[in-house]
Amino acid sequence: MDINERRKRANIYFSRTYRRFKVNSKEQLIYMFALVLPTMLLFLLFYREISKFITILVSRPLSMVLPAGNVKIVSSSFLPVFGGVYHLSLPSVLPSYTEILINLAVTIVLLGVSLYSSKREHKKTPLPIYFSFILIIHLISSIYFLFARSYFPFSSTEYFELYMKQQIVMWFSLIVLAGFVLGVIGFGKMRRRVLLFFILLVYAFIFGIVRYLAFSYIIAVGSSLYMAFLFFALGPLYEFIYFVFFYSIFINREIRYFGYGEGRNDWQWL
Amino acid sequence: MVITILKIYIIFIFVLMLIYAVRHAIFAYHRIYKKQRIYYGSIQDSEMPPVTILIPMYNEEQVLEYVLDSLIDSYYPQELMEIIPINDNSTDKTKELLDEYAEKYSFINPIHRQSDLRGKVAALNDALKVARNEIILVFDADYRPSKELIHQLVAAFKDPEAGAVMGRVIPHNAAKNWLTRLLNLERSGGYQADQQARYNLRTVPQYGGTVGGFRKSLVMAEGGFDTRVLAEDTELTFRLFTKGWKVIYANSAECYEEVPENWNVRARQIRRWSRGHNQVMFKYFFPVMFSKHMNAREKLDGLLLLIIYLVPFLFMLGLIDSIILFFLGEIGILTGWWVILFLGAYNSYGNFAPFYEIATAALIDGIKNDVLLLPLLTFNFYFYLWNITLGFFDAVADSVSGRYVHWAKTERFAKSKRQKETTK
Repeated sequence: MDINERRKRANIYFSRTYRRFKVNSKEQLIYMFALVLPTMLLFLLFYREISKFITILVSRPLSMVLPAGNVKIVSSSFLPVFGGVYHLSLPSVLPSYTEILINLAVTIVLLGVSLYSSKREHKKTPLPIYFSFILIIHLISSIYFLFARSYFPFSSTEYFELYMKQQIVMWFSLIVLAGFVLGVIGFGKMRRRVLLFFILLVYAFIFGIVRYLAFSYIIAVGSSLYMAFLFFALGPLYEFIYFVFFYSIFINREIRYFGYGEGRNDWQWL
Repeated sequence: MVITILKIYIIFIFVLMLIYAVRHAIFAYHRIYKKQRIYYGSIQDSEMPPVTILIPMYNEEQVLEYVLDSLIDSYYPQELMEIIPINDNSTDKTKELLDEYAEKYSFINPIHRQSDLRGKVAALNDALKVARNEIILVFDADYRPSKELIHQLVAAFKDPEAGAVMGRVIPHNAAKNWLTRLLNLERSGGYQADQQARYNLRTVPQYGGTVGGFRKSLVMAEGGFDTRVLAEDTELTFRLFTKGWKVIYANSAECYEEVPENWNVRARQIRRWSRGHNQVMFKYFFPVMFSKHMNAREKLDGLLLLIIYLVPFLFMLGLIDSIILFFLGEIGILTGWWVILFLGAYNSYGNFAPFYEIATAALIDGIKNDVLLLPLLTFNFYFYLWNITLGFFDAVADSVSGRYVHWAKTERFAKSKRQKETTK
């Protein structure tokens, strides 16, 4: 675009009604083939080692609070070609009846408070409904353990196998999703999109370790009673909240760039 | 056997989520990168048709002056306009205020209903019987149409295929609080990306019951609107498409509305939408599927649109299903690569789908800063899951009992013009 065209465009207000961008297929291809696909491939080749690394990392602080020999690292089969995953193996701790009854009582009280809050006129927000959902899951878990404790289907080892497989899937999905959202329908400067991609990966990795540690600590020090609550309430939903959080910061930056900055010239009409 | 059914249901939910994710992705991509199909807004015809504007009202003393004054100030020739405010059993000063307007302006002819058959749909039917013109526009009482809006909307009917037209709704109270900001983002995604993309792709843009219009003869051919259906707008959309008519979306025809300012009002609103939409789903699912007038693309989008308020209920069942499977030790439904595909679809692609559509719309609309609230929409997931599910059960009960559905008005928050003057 020559300088005259640029000046002319700077004086045209591209109404929001029908404005759009021109597809930059070259950038899309570079983003996908030079960044996303190699990252996917590398992840598939190394997820086994990654799972081993974070399991070792998490096992160290756990070994300090649990009796010697209780924290083990085992592997389970997962994907054909790319192999299995490593995960923790901890002794299963079934909750005592006292622990179950205390949990049941506290959950019922909290659920009552939450449901009451959700009914209050003009004070209603989505949060009490969200808390009610997760409290109901813990209530079901408490009732289950009260009456059918010995039938609970997961040992700690099986639970962490499930957890690790889900974590690997979430990380892989994050790469695919970030690649699609930033590379295919993404807009804005290439360097910012690449930067966001790596920020997401790094954050996902750190978050995954912290959550793994938190889950394993609660289940090891507490009991199997908390497995359902942790799995449903603090599982993949949180993975995706931080994705949306970083993405919204990125979009806000892009809105300023395309609305008021140099990017104004990139809008196409119709 | 039971476990197999439970597992198959979870897989069904995975697939459904993936379908909606793809749908949102196509819409977002189409809106941001593809050539836009423009509306007929630029048509300048010396012979614009006469138009009747209907405004259903129930206790609207706070807001009715805004909509009527805006219409009076419209550029559309007053001799071509007939405005019918429909006072539906109001108990406040709506009647007195409307009579004042009727005395001053000959083209404002209010109807004062005292019928037992109350609600927006019945009110519209009564007004259609006395409306003088073929082109009908409808506004809610809290709307504030711009001066060009009537002309913009009426222009669509120069197209002989157009059965209805729908304009774009924008909240004027978006900056009021967090809820209104979130609703502004949702509206932006719904109109700027979703409706415009469906118009681009020639699928099924939706007539929304306000800031829009239709041909009177098409509605009256079946004796007016179905009073047993709460969502007369969605019902009209599918009635028109299944009979070979089109709904035209006018992204440039912007009109300002008031969105709910507290969650309680929003909960009631979304439950009512769900109830009405699901009533239409029961009525039109098979007619859409077997319509001779809709092509495959319209049918696919039409069916996905029809079941959109059923999906949260299905997800709710999916959540219950997965809790049961967890305690049965059967949550590891799939193995190997299927886990990657389905769990990924369920947890990320499906969940994230509406966000990139909203973000795309926010970028086009230039909604800076408020877009940072996007993560909060995640918590709305449960709020909508619950209230839409309740609306679904209402619709089921309506269908089974055949009961008459009362239309509930959305609470208004704006101060009336008179109140504002008194405050000054």
